[in-house]
Amino acid sequence: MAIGEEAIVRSELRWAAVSIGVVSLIMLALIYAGIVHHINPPSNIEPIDPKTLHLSGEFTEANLGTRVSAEGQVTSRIVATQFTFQPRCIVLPANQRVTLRFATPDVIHGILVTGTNVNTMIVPGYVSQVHTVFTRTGELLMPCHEYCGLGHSEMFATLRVVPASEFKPDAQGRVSCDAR
Amino acid sequence: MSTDPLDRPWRLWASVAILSVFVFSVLFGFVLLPIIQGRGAGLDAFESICRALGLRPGSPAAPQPASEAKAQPTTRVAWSAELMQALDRPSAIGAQLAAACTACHGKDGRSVDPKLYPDLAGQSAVALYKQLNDFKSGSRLSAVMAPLAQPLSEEQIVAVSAHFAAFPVRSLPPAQMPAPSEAIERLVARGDPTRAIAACNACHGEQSGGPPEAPRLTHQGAQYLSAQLRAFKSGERRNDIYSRMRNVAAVLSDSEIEGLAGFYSTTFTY
Amino acid sequence: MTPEEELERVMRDVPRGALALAALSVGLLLVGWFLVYLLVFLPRGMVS
Repeated sequence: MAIGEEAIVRSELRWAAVSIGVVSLIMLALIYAGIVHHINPPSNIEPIDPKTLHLSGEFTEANLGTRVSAEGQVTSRIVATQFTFQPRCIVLPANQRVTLRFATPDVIHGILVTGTNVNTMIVPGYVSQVHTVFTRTGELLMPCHEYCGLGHSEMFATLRVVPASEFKPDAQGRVSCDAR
Repeated sequence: MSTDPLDRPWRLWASVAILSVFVFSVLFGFVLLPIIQGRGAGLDAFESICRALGLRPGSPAAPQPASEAKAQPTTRVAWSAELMQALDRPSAIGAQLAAACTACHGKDGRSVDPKLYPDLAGQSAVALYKQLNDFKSGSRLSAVMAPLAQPLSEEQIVAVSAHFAAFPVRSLPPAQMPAPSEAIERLVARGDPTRAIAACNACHGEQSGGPPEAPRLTHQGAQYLSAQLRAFKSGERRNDIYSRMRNVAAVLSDSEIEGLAGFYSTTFTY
Repeated sequence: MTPEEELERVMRDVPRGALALAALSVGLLLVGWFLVYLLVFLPRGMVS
């Protein structure tokens, strides 16, 4: 045979080096995204009781939607339930850090916002939270992407991203689609 | 099998390599990166690491919004396993209390005037419990039902709900029933994805797996059903948890409301 | 040529072709990953 054992080992070592190189390159790209662009997987461990979600605390129905705090922090609270999002239309400012907080009283749901990296599961018992910055204005579709029952395919909401000049909170700091 | 002397250092170095990648990932992901990101968000190192590990809520890269509650809930009802079990057991107290309901809802839960009063016979006990509770708390407004529901205790509401749920539904002759239109049938069975209307069946169908409090709609008068849909549409009735019904009714046209009410009043199989 | 000699001739050339194929596929995969990373993932904005 032309190839000896030494040659096989040598080629294996070369391939190992190539594999390590490829993995390192990809890891470096991820570390770059983490440090420079602050891109993390949105993980947030925050328990909440799904049985009394609608009764007290921040996910009471009239408390949902976009609100600007006294410090200027923009937070939108959204409930995913069988088979609707409440609110179904959410106004958010462009080019500004916003926080989306999701909870569900019933089963596992999930959301993604088209054209962005916003993508999370919504699990009963936990608050799902995503911080992001929307750079493009317009209406973005936010469908439920985790099968939640027979009405799953009709479950979606709309994110209306408006320029900062058109984002006008009312006296309570609230912004809703109906107000415009 | 004899061990090849060439293999031994190879295995050792492979293990060392894997272990060091693991140690690096843990250190980088749970310590280094959170500290770097937390500095930008004004968090101290300890808080950032706790957040990365999932011991504290929030992202290490962003300030955490305060969770605030400034609103009243739409209904006071909350479900639990014990409550669901209690609603499955009809009792003698329920039969006594039901005497007060017969003037409108009829003996055996069959309405004396289906145009105005819903049938209670065979309705889901969970749905009856929620509505009685909402009449009591004022979440659902009714000049007739509110004074009747207010004196009832939690146990009495459970008993009377379980009582009516145990009766068999009204049997109506299937004659002179108009065939439902294709569009209405599609709305019931398939919904309308373009308007985000989930199929009625997704919640109101039997064993649909939707919200537990969704009532059975068949065997009800068309006028009663359309009045409720219109009340949901105008926002006059708002005791549905998280606008599940208001969101749907808001985009239904008046003719669809009439069509759906007619469909459920003449269809017994759903 | 005996079968043994023929096998030896084939075995001498095979590794070079396999190497080219493997390098090409690994390279294409890597290029594809970086194209998606740079042209799709990063422009879609930050999340955390």
